[in-house]
Amino acid sequence: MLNELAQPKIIILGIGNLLLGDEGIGIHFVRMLNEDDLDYANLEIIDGGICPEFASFVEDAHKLIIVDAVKGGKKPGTIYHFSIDAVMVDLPMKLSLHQMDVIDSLKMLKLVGREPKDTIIIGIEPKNIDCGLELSPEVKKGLAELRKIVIEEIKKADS
Amino acid sequence: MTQLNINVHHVTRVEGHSNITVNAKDGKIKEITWAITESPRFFEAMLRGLNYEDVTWIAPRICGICSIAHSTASIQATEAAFGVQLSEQTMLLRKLLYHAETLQSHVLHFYFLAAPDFLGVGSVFPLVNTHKELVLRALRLKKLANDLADLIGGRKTHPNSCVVGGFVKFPEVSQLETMQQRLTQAMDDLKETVKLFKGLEIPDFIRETEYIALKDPQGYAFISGDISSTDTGTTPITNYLEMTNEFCVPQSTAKFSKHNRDSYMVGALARFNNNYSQLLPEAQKATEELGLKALCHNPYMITLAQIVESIHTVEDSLRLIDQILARGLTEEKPDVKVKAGRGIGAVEAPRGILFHDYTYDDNGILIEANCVTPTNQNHNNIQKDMETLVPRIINKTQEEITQMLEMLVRAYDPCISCSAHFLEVKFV
Repeated sequence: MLNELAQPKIIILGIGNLLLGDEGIGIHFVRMLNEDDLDYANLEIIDGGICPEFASFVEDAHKLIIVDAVKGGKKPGTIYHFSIDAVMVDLPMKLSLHQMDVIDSLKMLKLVGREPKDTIIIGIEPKNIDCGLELSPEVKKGLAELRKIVIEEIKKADS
Repeated sequence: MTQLNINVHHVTRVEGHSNITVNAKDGKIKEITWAITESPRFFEAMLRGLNYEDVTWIAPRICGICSIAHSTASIQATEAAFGVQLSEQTMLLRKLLYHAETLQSHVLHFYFLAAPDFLGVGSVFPLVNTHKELVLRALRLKKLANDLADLIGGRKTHPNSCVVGGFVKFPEVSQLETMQQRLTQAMDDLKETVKLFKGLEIPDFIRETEYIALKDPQGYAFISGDISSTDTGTTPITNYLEMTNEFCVPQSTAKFSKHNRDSYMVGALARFNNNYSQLLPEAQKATEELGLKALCHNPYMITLAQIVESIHTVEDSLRLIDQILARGLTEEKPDVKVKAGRGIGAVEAPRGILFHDYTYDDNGILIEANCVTPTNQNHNNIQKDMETLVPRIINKTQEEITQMLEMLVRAYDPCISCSAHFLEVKFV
């Protein structure tokens, strides 16, 4: 069996490198969410860091919410919210530094029939992805809005 | 062969960005370079000024594939600086956690990154149609390794339960027993892996070089022991700078290394060449089946050494869990007393020997750091391999030469994202 342990229904996967400023937004976000003590039985919050392969983290999830820095060419701090299907088909925008790892892992799961039923990406346009442990003020400001969107998505999936 | 002009920008299926350039005219080689183009990261500078506990959390973020290696090297450097004594239980858990990463990384490499070369396809994706069982096996092994990392390290990647002086979270007996069953079942998957790879054609290329790895009389070393060279014998890890001798080259943002010869190799094959007699029985059997004999001087065999090591890590994990269960787990509290000093941590990351070297002040604030990664140590050996290989295959087609060079680079399983860092230059 591929899936020895039952996977939770909803997964929040934060991705990014904490050492590269705004690139670490996904990790800052899941840390914040962990402090919230959210009361959903089927929710798993994962700090994926810069792991290159996520397949076994998220296989068979009912809903996968990826939180990441997204380079879409808009103003720093701009929030993006889209379904993975758009990116899987024609890669319309450049995601974060590790975009291919996420896409490859999901592609692999799709090919073996283990992909999450619904995957969305919620991200923020970074300002600074140079070495540093701090978020830029623009991106920091977006964290609260990001949280609101993610909570709505969790509620939708949980209902 | 009249003209050869190979420019591979961003070699695929390696972590990070790198280029291969070969120029030849009328059979005469003008240029062969292996270059790292990824922008440098200033990890050492970032660690300076941090409290030792923060250093422990930052270090695993250096790399997503070998975060447990960076975590362990970092923790051991701090422990050496403070003179922390570890319990037997901590060492057993640390070794077990470490095996999880070796397995995670090796499976990723031999199935997802190297196997497509040997099976004649461009990536792992086409294998889903032609070799579905292979892909499912790879995912099963990867999941097992991730779950072992999670059980002992607190997370599948970037561990958070291992700290300076010990652990802050401990597995349940029932979880260890379940893991033991899964590890036992995984041996079948690994035996199938041996069967698959022994039937594949490995390029025949020999270039003698020096092999450097940790060596410990207690067993096949991953997180303990002295530095061992197949040329010069052993030396304590405190002498690591005499082994690594990092230097800059014009074509690369990463540093290169050399020791007794013009280059040396670290990683699975270097470990095998230094420590083959300490492999556990099933791993020994696999070496025979795969035709891997020490000293092996064919870098394309690194992939096979990784398969052998994967079997060893599963066998040893079973032994370690037996020992932990037999002695019982207690919730020990780490006992750390901060003091000024310098300490060096050396571990065998999946790609080879990794050093973290820290100096702390009286308050446990890091004032100096140096990190020497295995991929940096291998760059020079890759360059020398290419310089030897290309003249031997110069009469092949440009496509064949390119393929062999890319396969060579991939065999080393380089992790370039964390190997790139600059020298600190002071202008006066």
